[in-house]
Amino acid sequence: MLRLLIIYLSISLLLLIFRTGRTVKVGRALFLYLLAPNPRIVSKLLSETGRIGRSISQLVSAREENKILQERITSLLQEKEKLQETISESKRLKRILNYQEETPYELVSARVVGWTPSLFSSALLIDKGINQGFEKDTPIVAWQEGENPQDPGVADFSLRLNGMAVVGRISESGPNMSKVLLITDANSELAAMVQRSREKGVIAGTGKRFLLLKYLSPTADLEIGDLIITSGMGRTFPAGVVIGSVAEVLRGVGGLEKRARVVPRININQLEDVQIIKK
Amino acid sequence: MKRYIFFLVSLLLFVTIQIVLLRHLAIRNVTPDLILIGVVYFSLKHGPTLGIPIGFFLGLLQDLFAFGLFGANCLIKTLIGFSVGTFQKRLVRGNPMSQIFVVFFACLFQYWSMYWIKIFFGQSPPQVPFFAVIFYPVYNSLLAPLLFWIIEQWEKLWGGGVYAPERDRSAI
Repeated sequence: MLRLLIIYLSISLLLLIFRTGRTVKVGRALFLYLLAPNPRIVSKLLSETGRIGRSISQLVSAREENKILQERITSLLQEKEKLQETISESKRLKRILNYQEETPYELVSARVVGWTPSLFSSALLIDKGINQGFEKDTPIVAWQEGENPQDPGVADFSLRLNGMAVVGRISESGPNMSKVLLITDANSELAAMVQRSREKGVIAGTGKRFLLLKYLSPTADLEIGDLIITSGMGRTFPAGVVIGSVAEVLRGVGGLEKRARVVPRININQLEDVQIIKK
Repeated sequence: MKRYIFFLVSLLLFVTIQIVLLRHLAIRNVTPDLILIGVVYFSLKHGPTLGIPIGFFLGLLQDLFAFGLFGANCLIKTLIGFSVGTFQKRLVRGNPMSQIFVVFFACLFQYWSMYWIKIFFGQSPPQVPFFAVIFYPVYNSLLAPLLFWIIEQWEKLWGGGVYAPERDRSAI
């Protein structure tokens, strides 16, 4: 048994040491291709799960009804649910189509089909990949309707209520699926600027709900509620896409830079669909 | 042959459920860790001979879909499979308290191992909110008895003891 442990530990260590090597990368891509959940099955699974969950809650609430009425109500409710699902789906598609007309970028919609299974990273899986022409570092945005309740700036500027905002970028692509590194992830960094004063810096994920705007000059003009947008430097994102709003202005180490805590515009937990900016 | 198919299907099912569905059970971004609970379940029930490979392959699948250090989850889950499997004889397997206890410490072990592995390989330590560090083992350990029961039913669907542990084999 010790021999078994040593063998598996050695393989794990080799994977760790040679994780950036070509062989390991090719192996990863191959396994991701073979094992990635089929987006169609996943979408169906998601909608079925929602339907089953709702059906269970209906059954619990209808317990006191008599049998005949219960059957009738259940069937009627199921029909209603199907209709509601169809209505919400058509609303969603209509919304996406309208948004695409409003934006200067060419956008392609993708469905969120999964979330990375780890406490230590925040990323999501979408149902578009190399076959649809999307590769590493392709920018991902989403449309935020209403406001992120944590955002301190939403009340000040009507512009901020609705619109396109940064979600992240593709970090790895399979044929029909991609991994999206979210802006909130601690590994994420993006060139950004303050919309009002045009001060440039870098926005970094913290692994928490806030982002950190750093490398601003110590005299930078920055206020709570300022809108932070992409600067276009780094070439991953086009300039002018909203990231979030300043919640707190901080002093960097030794006072050599100014920093800010930024609340992302997008409420990532609510994402069902994202838009990919075609380069 | 049947047992290999069972384990292959189980591994893929666990990872798919983890990726697609368990996000909906997240409380303040802390998601139930079916992958970890799966490793603990198989190690506790079948010993280290099975716990080690199950830990390795579930860790590998987790690494494929997650970011960060590729291979780190493999290493950690292999060690969890080995440790839990080794101590299995000292624990009352069917007892929910044992399950809660083992999953709680497995979660803590996973967090701290990842912390030190990242530092060892020159990366910044994981940025996990303090609440998540505390709540992650609590949430998962409380869910453990239920998830253990579900996995057990799943195993029974395949005819129960598809894999006879070493000590039972000698009895046979």
